Amino acid sequence: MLKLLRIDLGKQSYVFEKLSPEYAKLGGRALSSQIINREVPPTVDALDPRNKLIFAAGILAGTNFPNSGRLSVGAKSPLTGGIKEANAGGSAAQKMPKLGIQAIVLEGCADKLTTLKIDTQGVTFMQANSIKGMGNYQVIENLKQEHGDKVAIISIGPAGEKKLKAASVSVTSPDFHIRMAARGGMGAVMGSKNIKAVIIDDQGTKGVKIRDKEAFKSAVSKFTKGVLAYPMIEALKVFGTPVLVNMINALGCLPTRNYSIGQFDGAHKISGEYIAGLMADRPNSVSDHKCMAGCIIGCSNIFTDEKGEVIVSGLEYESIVLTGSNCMIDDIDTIAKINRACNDIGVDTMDVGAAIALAMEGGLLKMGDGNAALSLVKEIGSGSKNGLMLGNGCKTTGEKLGSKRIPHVKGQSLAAYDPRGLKGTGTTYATSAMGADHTVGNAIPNPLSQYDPSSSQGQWQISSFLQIYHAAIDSLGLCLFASLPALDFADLQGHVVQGVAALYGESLDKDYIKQLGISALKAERDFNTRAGFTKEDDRLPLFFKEEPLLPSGNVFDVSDEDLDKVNAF
Amino acid sequence: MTVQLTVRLFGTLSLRVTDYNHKTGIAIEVPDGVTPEDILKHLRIPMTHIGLISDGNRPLKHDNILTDGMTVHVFSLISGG
Repeated sequence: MLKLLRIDLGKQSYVFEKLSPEYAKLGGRALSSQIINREVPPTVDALDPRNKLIFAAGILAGTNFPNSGRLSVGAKSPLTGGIKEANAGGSAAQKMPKLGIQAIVLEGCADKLTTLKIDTQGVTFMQANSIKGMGNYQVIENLKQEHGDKVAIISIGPAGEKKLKAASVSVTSPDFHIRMAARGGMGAVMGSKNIKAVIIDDQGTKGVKIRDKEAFKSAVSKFTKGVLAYPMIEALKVFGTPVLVNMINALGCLPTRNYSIGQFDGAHKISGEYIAGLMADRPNSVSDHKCMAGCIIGCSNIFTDEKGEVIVSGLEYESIVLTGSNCMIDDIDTIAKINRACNDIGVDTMDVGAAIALAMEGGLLKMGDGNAALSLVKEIGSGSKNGLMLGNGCKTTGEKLGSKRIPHVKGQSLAAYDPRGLKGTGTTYATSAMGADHTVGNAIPNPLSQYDPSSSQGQWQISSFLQIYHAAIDSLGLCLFASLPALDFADLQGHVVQGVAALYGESLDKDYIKQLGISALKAERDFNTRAGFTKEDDRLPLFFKEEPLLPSGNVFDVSDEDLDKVNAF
Repeated sequence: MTVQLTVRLFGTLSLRVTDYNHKTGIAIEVPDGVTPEDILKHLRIPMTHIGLISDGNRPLKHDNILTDGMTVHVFSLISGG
């Protein structure tokens, strides 16, 4: 049985703790959220030492179940004031179970900036003076030189050290590119604990113990076959998530000019198809990069310049839209450079992208000026007044600039789908305990289904269903894209359950996935309620209800009564 | 009676049609009353591979009737992440 690794940062001590009955057989988001709900005082300041930072591996992590290496990073959020789980790919989560660890709980606060190393010998506390103030790329390079290329590195950039509310946590991929647990200011919580980096070294370990190896092997084989046969995977392999740009633009839901228009004239120049064409001509570009060991899809990319120098990996849909069309920027190289700067400084491209658009709308810089946007992002790292404003996210930026059109819920910026046309996703934005978030339940239409994303009716049901499912997927540690085919093919969900059952060596309830998802959501709602959130916090900003989205004319008209039904499990 | 349509394919769908021109799409002449599903059958693209069909401004259902002069945009099955 895997254990909790509790680290007391103030005392520089640690203990491997048997999972209590409340935490047993949980992983990822469900485990992180249960720990926070039970152990963190809900009204405490998120940057107070009494907050805890959790790194939780998914239930299937460390095995060869496909795409099972998402790392959940959880804490009370300084951005939302509520519970938060942000997850990322990379190699950390696959290594933790091999060291016998289901989750790492960072408690208290270190006296000085510290790097932790976790390996078969236990935990080593190291001074981090030599990497203080350093950007993530250089931190990773230095620590790789020092500790070898078999480790995983979790780190923060200058934004985390400054405890900015949009600060992210970087996690290295097997080839040391950056993946981000970007949302909700988890980097600020790590910074508040004076932790610059966590190195995870699983060399010398054995694999994860699987109770019924034959049944597990069968589940892996069937799930892999089913996922690879799903038509969506083909587009992800070739174009990655940027393939969404043209489609969401055609739906009239591509956030443009701070969520005032749903279609962008420059959409083609930031689309997956256009990017793929560029990358085909650029040396060292990779279109099917895998962010974790065991990935069977390869939806990520390595985007290089014309000389073959890496600009960023991966260049993803949400970042492209929030720092691109939403700011009226259609130069993909500039967008990639903004993405790199965000990664290096350690901030969420989405919240910062939304903040840039507000700064443009507020006259701080010209709408569509990509170079000015890049300069402003770099000021987050240098700590100028405007940079610090931007690094605290879109809500802070909008309020300081007097905007009436701040696209956030519970303090977190919306994702790259306008909720007036995609009302199921809008319902999720409004009602998730996480604040506006797409990965917790994104309702994208399909021409074969009867689902109408622009109707005011039926949205709470689909949002509730998707939020339960994705809470379970985040708890299993599965990547979103490997889990989407299972929404269409119930037998694939059966293979996931079979895999978990074989891992534990016991049978599981047929509603295992639903029960796992609900357990996470209930813990999250309970924490937020005790932190002072009410149903009035489960609403979209007024302008989405009053201001028609062009060109469709849609407004967000899902009733408050329906929004209140989403979490009535 | 026939109608003239232009079909534009996105994502990996264009790889399924020989000599697809990305700038112009495909011009086709088909019988009156044709639907997006008929067009896709004509192009031998399974409906299960489709994420969205649009007239450029709004989504179309698989059984909507297409009218003369329309440009039909067809997108690979994809979802958000």
